[in-house]
Amino acid sequence: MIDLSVQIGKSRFKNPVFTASGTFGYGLEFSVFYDISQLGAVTVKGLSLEPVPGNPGPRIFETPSGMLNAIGLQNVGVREFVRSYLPRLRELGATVIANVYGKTEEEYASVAAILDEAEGVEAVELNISCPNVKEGGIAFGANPLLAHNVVSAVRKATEKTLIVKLSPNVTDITEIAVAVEEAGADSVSLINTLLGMVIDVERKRAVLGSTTGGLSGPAIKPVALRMVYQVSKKVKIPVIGIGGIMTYRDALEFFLAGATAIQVGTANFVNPLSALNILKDLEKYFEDEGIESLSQYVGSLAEVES
Amino acid sequence: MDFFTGTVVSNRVISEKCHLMKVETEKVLDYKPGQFIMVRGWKGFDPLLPRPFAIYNWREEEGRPILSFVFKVVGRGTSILSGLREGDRVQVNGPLGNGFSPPEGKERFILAGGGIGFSAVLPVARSLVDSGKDVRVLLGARTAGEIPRIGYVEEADRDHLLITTDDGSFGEKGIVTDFLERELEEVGEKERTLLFACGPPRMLKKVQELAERFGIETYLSLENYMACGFGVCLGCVVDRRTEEGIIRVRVCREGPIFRSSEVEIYD
Ligand SMILES: Cc1cc2nc3c(=O)[nH]c(=O)nc-3n(C[C@H](O)[C@H](O)[C@H](O)COP(=O)(O)OP(=O)(O)OC[C@H]3O[C@@H](n4cnc5c(N)ncnc54)[C@H](O)[C@@H]3O)c2cc1C
Ligand SMILES: Cc1cc2nc3c(=O)[nH]c(=O)nc-3n(C[C@H](O)[C@H](O)[C@H](O)COP(=O)(O)O)c2cc1C
Ligand code: FES
Repeated sequence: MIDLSVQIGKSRFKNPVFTASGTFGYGLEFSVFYDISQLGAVTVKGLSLEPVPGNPGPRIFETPSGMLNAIGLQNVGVREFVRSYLPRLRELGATVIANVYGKTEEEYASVAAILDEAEGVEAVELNISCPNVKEGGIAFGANPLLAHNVVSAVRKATEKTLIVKLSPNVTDITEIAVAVEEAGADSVSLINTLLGMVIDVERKRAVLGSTTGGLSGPAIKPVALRMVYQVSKKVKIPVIGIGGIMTYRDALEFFLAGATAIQVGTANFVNPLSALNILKDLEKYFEDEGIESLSQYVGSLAEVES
Repeated sequence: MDFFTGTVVSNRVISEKCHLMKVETEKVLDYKPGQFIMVRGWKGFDPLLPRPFAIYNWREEEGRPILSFVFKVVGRGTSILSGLREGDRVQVNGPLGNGFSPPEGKERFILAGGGIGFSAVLPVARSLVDSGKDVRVLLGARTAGEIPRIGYVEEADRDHLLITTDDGSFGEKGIVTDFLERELEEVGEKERTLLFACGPPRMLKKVQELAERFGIETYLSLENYMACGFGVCLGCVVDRRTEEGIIRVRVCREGPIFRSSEVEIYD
């Protein structure tokens, strides 16, 4: 069978199929459906220093081939995660990526430092791109200098593989990618959700409790793919592709565009087995096509001369 | 909780906008009344998310494991479901949510359903009747055409089931919560009585008010918008009052049934 393992920073992941933060809970719910240790990694819901109650409802709404969410990073806090959830994830044999969010540079670094000491966390993914919180989040992800500074601060706080998750809600995503690479990121993952809105015409008001929300699902795939393609050309560190990946064919597109690994998000709500199915279908495809290594396939997009 | 594909065995129109769908499953799974399923009955990704429906019944019927649920056609997903025929396949995740277990010491149960809310109320009523409790059911509809033509409703006598319509075209004329109010006025042993309701937010707000006024322990079944249905997206939360203040809990996991006094209903 083909070796699908991928190297990102210090980490060797057994395959390139990960789950996306916020769509997989703390991983435990999915273990009812399948053995989550089969996945390359599971990325848990964004963790902050203190527990966060999140936004008032309504928080979600379906849109054409997609959905909007405005969860507001509700989470149990990093300490509770390490105490109560991480041990169970370890028992399940899951490879864990901890997604991190903070309001200030110091807070990002503190959360990363706590995770640095936690056994069973393979990598840290910095969310500098959440569109659903007023402070922090997007501010860091939209400004190359702020992005550089927060990544530098976190780099000092953790030895673990450091992935930085980028926002698509910027003019030039490659600029941010280059800035975080220079600051010491081992990898960039993209994209987070695209900022959007729905209006209830009868009530003349926004449907979501927080007015705007983040768009995910198949609707955003072309945008995500384009960004992964552009960023892959600009940075040397591995790129993790995210956005509307529902099937193995979607995943193949991201690999061709230059992604070393992919994350499955909204698809987990549509079919809880999605990530596993994508992995199995990829294995079969590579086998059938006689492709011997993933690295040979990644970025092998035929360029049309213009 | 299980995730599987079932086969439609029938999809009967039971009122102007409602269908009763029966799906053959591999086996009957244990469930509690008030639990629900997430259903997808179409290919491709538009509509995207599965839709939540209360479990109406899950039992052996003529030797086959049959899961049934009632749905009202309100949008794209339910329109597609309404067109499914015998032999079509549907994807199901469930049973989900907490379901209803009657607390100790309750003997008399008053159940109120508004609109499609009957789909959660009737399974609870059936299980209480089966366990020998004294059960009174009030169902409200806008008009006669909305009254579901299903066994439970057709066979029940008037002492057990009261139907109201806003326009008086069937049963009593008026709003179901007005009749509920009268019913509550006559309750003798409040401690031994329990009220359960499912319906649109405006009705539930009224029920909350009645529950407080009459001091009767009350449970509400909520129908918040859902994406995953099994606790991973945090999209369906409701504000719950606790000793530590307000916390946001998942309707799909900690609910959909909550103590009325604990939850904040927004219209
Ligand atoms: C736990 C639970 C149990 C439910 N049980 C039943 C049931 O037994 N029978 C039944 O007919 N319906 C039930 N519902 C409501 C049902 O899920 C929605 O009506 C359905 O998802 C609408 O799908 P659609 O694609 O047809 O509508 P859409 O095209 O998605 O939307 C059409 C309209 O319906 C509204 N809507 C969408 N989702 C919901 C929702 N979850 N709750 C209320 N309004 C919604 C939208 O705001 C919109 O105005 C339940 C909901 C929940 C959360
Ligand atoms: C309900 C929901 C919650 C999310 N929460 C987070 C989060 O906490 N942290 C984060 O970095 N991204 C979060 N995301 C973004 C996803 O991880 C992913 O980047 C995005 O949804 C695009 O991928 P998809 O189209 O496959 O869902 C969330 C997405 C959704 C839909
Ligand atoms: S619907 Fe996803 S957590 Fe409840």
